Amino acid sequence: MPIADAAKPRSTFVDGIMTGAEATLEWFGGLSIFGAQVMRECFRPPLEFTEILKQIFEVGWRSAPLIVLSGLAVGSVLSMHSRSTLERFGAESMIPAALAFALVKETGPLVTALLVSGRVGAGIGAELGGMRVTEQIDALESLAVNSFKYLVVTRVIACVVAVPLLTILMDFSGLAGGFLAETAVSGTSFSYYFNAAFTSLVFTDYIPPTLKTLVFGFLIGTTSAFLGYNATGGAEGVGRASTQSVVFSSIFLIVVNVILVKFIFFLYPGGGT
Amino acid sequence: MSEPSEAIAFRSVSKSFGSRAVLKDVSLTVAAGTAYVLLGRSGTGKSVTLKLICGLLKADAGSVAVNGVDITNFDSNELTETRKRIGFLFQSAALFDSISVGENVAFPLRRHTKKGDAEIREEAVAILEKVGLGKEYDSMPADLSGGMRKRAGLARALAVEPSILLVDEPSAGLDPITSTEIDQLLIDIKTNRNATLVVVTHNIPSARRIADRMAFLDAGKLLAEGTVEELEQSEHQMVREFMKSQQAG
Repeated sequence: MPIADAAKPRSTFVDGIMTGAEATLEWFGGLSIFGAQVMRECFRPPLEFTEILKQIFEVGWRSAPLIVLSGLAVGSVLSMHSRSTLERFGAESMIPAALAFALVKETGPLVTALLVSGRVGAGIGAELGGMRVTEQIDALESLAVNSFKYLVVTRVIACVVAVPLLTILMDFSGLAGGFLAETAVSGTSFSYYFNAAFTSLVFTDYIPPTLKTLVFGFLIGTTSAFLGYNATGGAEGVGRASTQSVVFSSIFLIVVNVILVKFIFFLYPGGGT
Repeated sequence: MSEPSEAIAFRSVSKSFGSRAVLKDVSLTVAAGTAYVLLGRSGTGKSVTLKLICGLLKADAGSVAVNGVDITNFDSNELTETRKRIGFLFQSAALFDSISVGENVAFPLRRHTKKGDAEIREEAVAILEKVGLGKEYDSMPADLSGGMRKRAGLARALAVEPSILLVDEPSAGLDPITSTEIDQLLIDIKTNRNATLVVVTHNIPSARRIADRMAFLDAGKLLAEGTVEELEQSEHQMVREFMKSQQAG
């Protein structure tokens, strides 16, 4: 009897862990299948071009002010930090190049993706979640419309297209912010600053980090659409889908970024990232 | 080719969600051009039955035939074709809340016809007029009352002139006058278009107005089936009480 009593809590504890692990694996499995379906449907005509353009406008154009403002702020802060550090070594002339490297290679892509996951990921999670719990997705299906293609694929494609474009916008805004901060301190001219910034950058500095944002766009779109499309539980479920969209997209972005940076180093040993 | 006499046929259909069996070995047929009302307490599988007819859910066992064609194992493309002939009025109307009422009605016309914008708008206005919402084309769904939303949902379901109309709780949350108006609309649709109606309701007066035949579901099983009079005389006490207790209102 005492042995059985002692065994009981351990068994419950182990059961709890097993159940949690099972649910987590099931969730990741569901997300992976969902992602694979998105990829397959992206290449299976007909595509919803009108809806894709509408979503690119929503994801891209409507995010542009946020990206530009953030880019200006990030660029000027980076510039100020760079100056305080490089001054110690008498290397102030390296500020434009250092800023360009930092922005183009890492800060631009990652900050853009995190901002988009906050603005767009939450929106997609909430919108699709709201449509799910109010039977609007069922209504779409009942009207002989493939809701997955119409709602999910269009949003993922929009994210994949918009995030790289927004990243370029962030890079230039960051450089502009850096220039404003630098010119306020040292009176550096526009032509000198941008010349110094771009001279040291080569093809492999620009392209791989920008292309990796295609993956970021896919991650944001797929994760938030998955959570919204499968939302349950009324208003609470919609809120949960929205919050989790941001949380999981951000975590995936940060983790996958490490893998992609390593991968790009592998492809371009000279330091493509 | 003439339309089959059976618009809908369930053969030994079962459906479960996890460990919860919602439908157990249900068989029923709905004749084309008739109104069939599904009755029963909440959670007995009535709405699931509608979703099975439309292919929004798949049966775990048995078969579902629509207009004589077994749709049980249809893929999404085949279901899309089947759904073009089915209209569905959801309990909450399920209007797309990001577009206007008129655009909701125009939506299926834009998707499934090659008509121009002007013609589609004209047609959507005409359909809205039939349900008494001719002036609400540009209103947003959130600005409509419950009854108006139901009528707008009905207009959208009717846009592509379906041969089968599935209606989930047409009177839920509506006052008796609006409820009667919706019932009359459904009767008109059946009569004028020779459409087949499958209506889920708890409202017995409404069911009496609409139904040619009725079925009573309980705990996932088909307890009784027949005309209004036959259900009133059912051997099952629960069915008789249900019919009786709701008679007053």
